[in-house]
Amino acid sequence: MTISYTKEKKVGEGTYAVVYLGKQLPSERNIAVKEIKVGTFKDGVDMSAIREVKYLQELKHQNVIELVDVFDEEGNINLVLEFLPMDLEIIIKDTSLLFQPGDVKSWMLMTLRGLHHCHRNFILHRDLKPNNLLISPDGELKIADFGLARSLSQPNERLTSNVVTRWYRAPELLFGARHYTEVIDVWAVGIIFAELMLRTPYLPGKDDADQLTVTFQALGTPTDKTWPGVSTLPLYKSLHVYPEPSRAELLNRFGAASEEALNLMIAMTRMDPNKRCSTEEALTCKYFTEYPPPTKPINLPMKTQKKRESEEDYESNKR
Amino acid sequence: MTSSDSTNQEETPQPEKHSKQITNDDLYRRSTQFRFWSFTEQRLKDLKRSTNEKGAANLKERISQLDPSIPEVSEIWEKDLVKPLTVEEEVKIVEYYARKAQGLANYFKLPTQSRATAISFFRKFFLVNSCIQFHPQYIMYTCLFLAAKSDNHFIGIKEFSKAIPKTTPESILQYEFQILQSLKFALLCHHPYKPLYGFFLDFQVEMKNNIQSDKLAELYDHARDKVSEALFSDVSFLFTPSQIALAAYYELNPELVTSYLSKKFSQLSTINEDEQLKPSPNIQTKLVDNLKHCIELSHASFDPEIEEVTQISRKVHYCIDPMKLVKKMQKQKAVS
Repeated sequence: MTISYTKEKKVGEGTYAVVYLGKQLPSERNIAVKEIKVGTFKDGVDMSAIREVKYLQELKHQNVIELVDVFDEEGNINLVLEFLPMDLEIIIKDTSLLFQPGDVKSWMLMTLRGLHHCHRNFILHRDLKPNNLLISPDGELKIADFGLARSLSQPNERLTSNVVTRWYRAPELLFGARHYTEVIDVWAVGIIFAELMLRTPYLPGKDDADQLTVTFQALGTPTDKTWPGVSTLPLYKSLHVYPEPSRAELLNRFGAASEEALNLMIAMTRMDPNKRCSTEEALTCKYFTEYPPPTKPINLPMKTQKKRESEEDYESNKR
Repeated sequence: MTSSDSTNQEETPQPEKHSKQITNDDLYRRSTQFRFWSFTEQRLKDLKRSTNEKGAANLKERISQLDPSIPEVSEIWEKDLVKPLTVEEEVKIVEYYARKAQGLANYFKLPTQSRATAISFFRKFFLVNSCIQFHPQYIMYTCLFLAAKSDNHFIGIKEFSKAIPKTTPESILQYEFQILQSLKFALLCHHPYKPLYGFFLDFQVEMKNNIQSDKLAELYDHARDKVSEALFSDVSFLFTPSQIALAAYYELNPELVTSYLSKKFSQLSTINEDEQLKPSPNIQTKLVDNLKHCIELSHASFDPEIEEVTQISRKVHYCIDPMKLVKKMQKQKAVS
């Protein structure tokens, strides 16, 4: 029995790939096909595709997108991925949806579980943002887009700090650090946590310089006192020193947050990477065991209109 | 986890256990290196044989399809002039080019890890493909290019090809997808260098009364060489990276490793309250036997002579394109 795939509808196009919705045959399973444009790259199979394949092959987890298959078609490499019709950005932006505290907790829990699985396999994602947290039809959140991922580095390796979409970039990256660890991903999750509560991006810098200002206005400017050695990082210049926000101020900023929710967010967004919490510490914090319990994925808010659209598509396909 | 567990649960229904800890061993068993590329000795032997047989069958078919009107072709048929490589010949030529890959990786100043990845890609390719169909020289170039790209040490194809005589970007890139496919798209390799360094750090803590630090540094350097040499044997298909690393130390200093293991195992049995997590009494003997076997197999590499390889290589060329032999025979006839 040979397995084949159809590409039925183009749903997106990026710099290195075109994404189609389709089906796996003969199982009729819905899948997404990411066709990597090979022709445009003179150095063979694109680096992002290599990374995506390399890391997804190792990461089988409920909260990480599944790489179903890889095939070659007319010299183009195609990644067959789990079909995930929604992402967290769309849900956050849909103002018709109301989030309960248990909903936010559930998304955070799923994100951190998936990320913990990456980190315990020594894999850094390096591009976490709501747009890369995809949602399955039954509400499960899955981390996707491993095009920037890499293995945890050796102490002597020099890394590029030009990773992570600007708004979710940890301060050590903003300062141009050439060595960093998995807690850059924890920072991004902390910022996503804030965004889930505020329903608007927390630190929307207009450019790299503005990102520093916005970040430190909100969370205080790090100094050698609060973060030993920070002034030795390449891009650390004499900055305006904003004070660290008081707890009362943060409580005011996040009106809906419980004390424990706030503790977790503070732990995930500590300036000094050495003091920032790990995924394990985050997952075992009190926030996840206190009332209310995390909402079951199937009961989470979904963008209704989009859902109806895809159902219609499905109906019309059947006809 | 064990079978006694499940029977137990049948008798007395128990709530689902949530406390099961995922160990590092569990994580390793989920890696593609373990799932796709780890074998028993017998399985590995069978795989090499079946790959060679597939290659030979493919050659037979290609020879049978040659144009019978050419007199030299019937001569080839009658005298059986294009013979497939034996398993042993395949092993030798693969090892020869694996060593070449090492030299080339050094030329491009690739770090140890990427060099090991290139060798690993190359050896895996020829576990599932035969040299009767692919000349290892060309596959080696592409494996090195791909390994550099996959391990964050990208080299542009133009620059890469320029440094290697008689190659073009196309001649290298043409095998890329086939190699990816042969590797089952499993690109993440766990090499013994990290555990080797990990043991080095742990020795400094646990064994500081047994060995001086300068001696230990020397031991580490020599063990690194052992591990690098073991890349050309089959041990990476048969043992875990930490076993290979520990075996390298054991070979150089068995007393140190023996007392280290005794210390570690006695620590394990005191810190674990859970009876199930305590090491079984004969585990240390079993582990040491395993290390000895690993040492033995790590020496089973050939480093073949150039003359022998040249001969095998000629055979490979005729296997890949039997018409080459036809042309050579025609030329010889024309001369005489």
